[in-house]
Amino acid sequence: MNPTLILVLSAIVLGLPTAGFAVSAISAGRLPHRLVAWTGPGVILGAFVATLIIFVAMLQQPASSRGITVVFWHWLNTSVASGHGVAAQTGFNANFSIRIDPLSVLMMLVITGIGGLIHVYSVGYMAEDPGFNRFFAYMNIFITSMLLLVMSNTLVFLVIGWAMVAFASYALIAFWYERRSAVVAGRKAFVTQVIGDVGLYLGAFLIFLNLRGAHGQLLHTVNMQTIFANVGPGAHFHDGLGPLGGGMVTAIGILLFLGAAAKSAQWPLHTWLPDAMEGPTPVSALIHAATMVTAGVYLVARFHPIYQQAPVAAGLVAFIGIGTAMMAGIIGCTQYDIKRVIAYSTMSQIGLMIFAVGVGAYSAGMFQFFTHACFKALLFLAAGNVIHALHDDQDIRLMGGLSKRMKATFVAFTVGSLALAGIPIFAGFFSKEELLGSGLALGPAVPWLWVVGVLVNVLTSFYIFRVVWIAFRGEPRSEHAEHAHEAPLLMLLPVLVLAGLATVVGFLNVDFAGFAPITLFSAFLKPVLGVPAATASDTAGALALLAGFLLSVGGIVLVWAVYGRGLISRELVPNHLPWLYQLSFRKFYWDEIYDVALVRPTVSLATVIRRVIEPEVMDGALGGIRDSIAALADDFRTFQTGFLKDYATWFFFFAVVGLVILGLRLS
Amino acid sequence: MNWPILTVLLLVPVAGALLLLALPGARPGAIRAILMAVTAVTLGLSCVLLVVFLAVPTSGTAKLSGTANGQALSQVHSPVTFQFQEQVNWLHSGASLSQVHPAFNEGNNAFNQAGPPPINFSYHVGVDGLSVWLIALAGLLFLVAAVVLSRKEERLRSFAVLMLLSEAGVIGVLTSLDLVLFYFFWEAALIPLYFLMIGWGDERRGRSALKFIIYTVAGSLFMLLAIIGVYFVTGAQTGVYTFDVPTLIAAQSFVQSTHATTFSLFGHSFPALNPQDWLFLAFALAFAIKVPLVPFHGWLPDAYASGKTPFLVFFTGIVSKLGAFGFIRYNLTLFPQASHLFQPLLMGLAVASILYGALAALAQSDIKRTVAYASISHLGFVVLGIFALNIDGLNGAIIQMVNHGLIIAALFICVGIFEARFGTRRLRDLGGLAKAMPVMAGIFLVVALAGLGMPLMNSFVGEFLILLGAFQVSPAWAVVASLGVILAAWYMLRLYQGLTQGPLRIPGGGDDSTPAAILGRLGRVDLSPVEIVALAPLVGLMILIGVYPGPIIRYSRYSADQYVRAADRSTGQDPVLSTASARIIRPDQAGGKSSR
Repeated sequence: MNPTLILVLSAIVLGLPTAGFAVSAISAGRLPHRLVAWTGPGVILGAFVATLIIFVAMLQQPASSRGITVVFWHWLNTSVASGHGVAAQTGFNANFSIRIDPLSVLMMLVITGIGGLIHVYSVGYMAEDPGFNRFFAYMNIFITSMLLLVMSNTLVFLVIGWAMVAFASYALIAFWYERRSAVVAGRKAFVTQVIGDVGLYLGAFLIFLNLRGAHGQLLHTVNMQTIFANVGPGAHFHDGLGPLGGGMVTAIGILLFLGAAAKSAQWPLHTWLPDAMEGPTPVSALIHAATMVTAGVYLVARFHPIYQQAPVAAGLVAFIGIGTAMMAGIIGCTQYDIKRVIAYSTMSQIGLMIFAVGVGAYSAGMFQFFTHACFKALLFLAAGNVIHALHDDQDIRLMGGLSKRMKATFVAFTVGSLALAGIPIFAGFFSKEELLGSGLALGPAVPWLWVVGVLVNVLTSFYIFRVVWIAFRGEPRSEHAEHAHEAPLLMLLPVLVLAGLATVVGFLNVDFAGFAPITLFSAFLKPVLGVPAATASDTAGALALLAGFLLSVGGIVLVWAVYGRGLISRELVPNHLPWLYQLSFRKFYWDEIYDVALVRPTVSLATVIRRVIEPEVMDGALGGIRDSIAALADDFRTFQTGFLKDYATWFFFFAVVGLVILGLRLS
Repeated sequence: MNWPILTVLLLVPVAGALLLLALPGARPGAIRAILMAVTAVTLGLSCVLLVVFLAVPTSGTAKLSGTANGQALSQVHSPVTFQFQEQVNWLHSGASLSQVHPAFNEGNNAFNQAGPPPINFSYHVGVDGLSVWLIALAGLLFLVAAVVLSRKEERLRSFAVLMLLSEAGVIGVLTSLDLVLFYFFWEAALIPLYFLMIGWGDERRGRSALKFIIYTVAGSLFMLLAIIGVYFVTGAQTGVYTFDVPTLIAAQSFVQSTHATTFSLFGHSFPALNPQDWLFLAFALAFAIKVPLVPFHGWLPDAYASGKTPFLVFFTGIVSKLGAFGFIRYNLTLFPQASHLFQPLLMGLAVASILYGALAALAQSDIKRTVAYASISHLGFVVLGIFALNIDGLNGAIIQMVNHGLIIAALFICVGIFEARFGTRRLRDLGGLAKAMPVMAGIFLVVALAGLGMPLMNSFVGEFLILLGAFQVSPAWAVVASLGVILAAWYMLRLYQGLTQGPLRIPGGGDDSTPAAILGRLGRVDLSPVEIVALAPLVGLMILIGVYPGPIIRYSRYSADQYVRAADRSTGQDPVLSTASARIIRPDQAGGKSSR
């Protein structure tokens, strides 16, 4: 690939959304909405076109030469050269460079493509909102940040993109800032993200300070390609952690995952995601489905050379992923807010992706990311149509009967649900079966983690079809539901495009259980991600496929039995297993636990400092000194005339006396 | 550069003050115009200084005459290079007054004379990659302060005069290369600041000013003793009796300060402190009060809470940097061994400041006090970077000093505007103001983000380098310090969101508290053009430095490297000397660019 072309195109990809942001931000809302309605989505679609050109240029190349690094500018360098009588000294040194390779191009396509559709949808969804321009400013800067995150070839700029994404997500969650709950949710999301950022910083420090090159020399680099090139088997880490055995690389893996967990809403940094549903629905689709929350998956996949050297860290990643998937699935079954159900579903699905990249099935994880971006954005946008039609009611108990009133949305939502549940021909089926098949082959605790992963299927199809049934079937249960209308074309069109995608993209990679393989997707990513260390045998794969499929269908049948036919009482679990119901309904009490364990102690400590330590200890100690000085000062009060010239006179008088004394002493 | 730019830089504010004093009948508009013109000229000069400053300094020398360890000292490299040096001997027993410019005094053999030690101090100024940025920052902040100073301010002329005198004092502190001169400016800057503090501000200002002066003078006294101590201790061991800073720095290579003796306490054996250590502590105390570090910060919240906005712009922005500047310039260079001995103590205090300031900021109900404690937390990072004693930490500290100046000044302008508009500093009296002041909310958001260390903004660069530097010394401390980053996000968002987001709320909301009614009653309260002009350069620089910090580091890194090397010297060995001993040092190579 021509480096100049790539440089220009990547500058366009990054620059267009930034320009969109700058125009909306600097004009401070004075631009007419109709103009921003064009520029807001326009810049993203422009970036998408530029990405497509990069993609096409990349496909012209043989697979081995599809990666290229270009440097934008030298960020900073604290090193000094030798000369002027001293030896050289190596300090921190970073460029702003970006990496274009199949993995980053895949991410860029999803971010700008799905992001562009969501922008178009937002023009309709936010049309009546007075903060229209501000909304598009935040959406555009979010896209910039996300692109920076995936394109950066420098660890520092990865961190920068990482944190800018957090800011943009904060701004969008707290977009309706008059609402107390939105403000609190925004702050919670931001602070959680900063915790993850700190993990990334520290991981970056460890890499920068400890990675050694082929000859054992310290590399002192934050260039990610250099890092990966030197992390292979037999990597020279300056190992300061001792007993863990490869402890350094394990520590790096865990610290990086702290960042990934915060972004991808994995335990223990997951509690912000459901609250983030306070933002407008397109935000949920963009941030909390298609892009931001998958950054953790990207991070682990991108840093797979490190995780391959750190089996303990990778195992932890897989374990947390599958645990979060299960937990979120259980919670999703009892929630009533349509967006929160989808949010927990997101958390659960991303848990599966994290599981996949944890066990080493990087390509399968990225494929699940890809299909998930399509069908989850679809679900959110379809839910957005419902919420829009119901004048911002989000409680599924207030819906009902919408399948007749919003036919297209109902079809789209059902397609999304089928894809999510993993029903054949829809996208989720292929990606999830590949993912679970790889998990079966590679999992560290085979087959237990795999069994948990398959059990998530039944939960998935249960909670999502529970929404379909309660919200769309039956009779309307509220005034708003009674008078619901189909969404306008501008909002319907992106939904239908996504519905189409959710149906077909699965066929990009059909490779399991002995079928004739289509491996367009995994072959594309192979130069970056390699191939899994093992694949499931055909028999095991076929069994896994069957089990997963049956459990998914079982979930739907269960919904039908409970909500459709009433064969099973809805009160069965609440009555007979109240603890389980409460655990699920109260979201495993994590909010309460963090409140008691972290938030309250910090606030109490801060209050003690303000109310006790500052006035009593800090001022008190001084007070004693001050009082004695004040007593002394009473005797000298006559000096305090309040006139500047008197003070100046005294100052010079004593200065001169002092100097004279000093002079006499010395000479 | 053949003209004495530093002296001019020092004299311009003084001349401005004199001009204002000479015009007793001037109208407020004229006073403000003169003030802005003088500060603008000072800023312009400091920018000239930046333009002609050499990023890669030529080697400098400090000539020593004397004996140490039985060997004659003739020519020694100064480990720290200063540019634009000007030196005029001031009080110099045994030699005639002569101007030596630009290099050091040649052929001065006064030190070799037998008899009582001579007193020797001079007007000696110069800059390095550390002070050149702080001078530029001072130039900018005094201009910004002049812009935000209202012409309706009472006793405007006195305020302007005192402000210009403080500027001269600050520039003097930053440029002086003689300990006596340094001490003079250090104290001289205090006087106008004290009068500014006691003359303008809220009703508690008298108490605040008294507290400030007690703390600072206490610290200064110890420093004065230490300055005299350095003079005698260095002289006794090397035969070099001088207050000249480059000479003293070079001479420390030959000062014995091994910790041969120990004492035991609680079963542990500690090195017994030698004179250098006590002197280090005395300097450190003065600077720790000025920064301030916890637990020497008692004066700060009151002083910051009761000050007027224009005063706070430069007081918080640049005066607080003088302490950190002193740590780098004097503690690291004059007491190399002690710097390493007390490294854990200072890093510990720095981390304590970071966390304590952040927690205290989290609990404040007063918006100005929130910012004041945030400032303590931020400056803890600066000191942490300094005492990491490596180039990453020190470069981070230098850039963070600039950053903090920009951010804290902008924060105080912002909270000052809220206070002025709504007559309250209580966080809970205000809310949702983004509705009433959208431009303000936007700018305040940028400032708050910079304050919480948002990447691609300036303080991320500093905090990242500082934490990286500290991590190399002690991963545990870096991890604890990074809790401060998390808390910063919390308290900054608490402040920002509390003021601008949530339901619209202003004090005395009246009967009709619907947003529309409040907005109607408020009228136009958003930023005025003057306020935007004052904030724009600060906000612009916050973003610019974050996106492209390279230029600042390019100027600071050689100085940072020199300070680290100066602190790394051990007794009797001059690493600089040993690598360069073969070279003949010609006077015309000395003194950086000023010699060309």
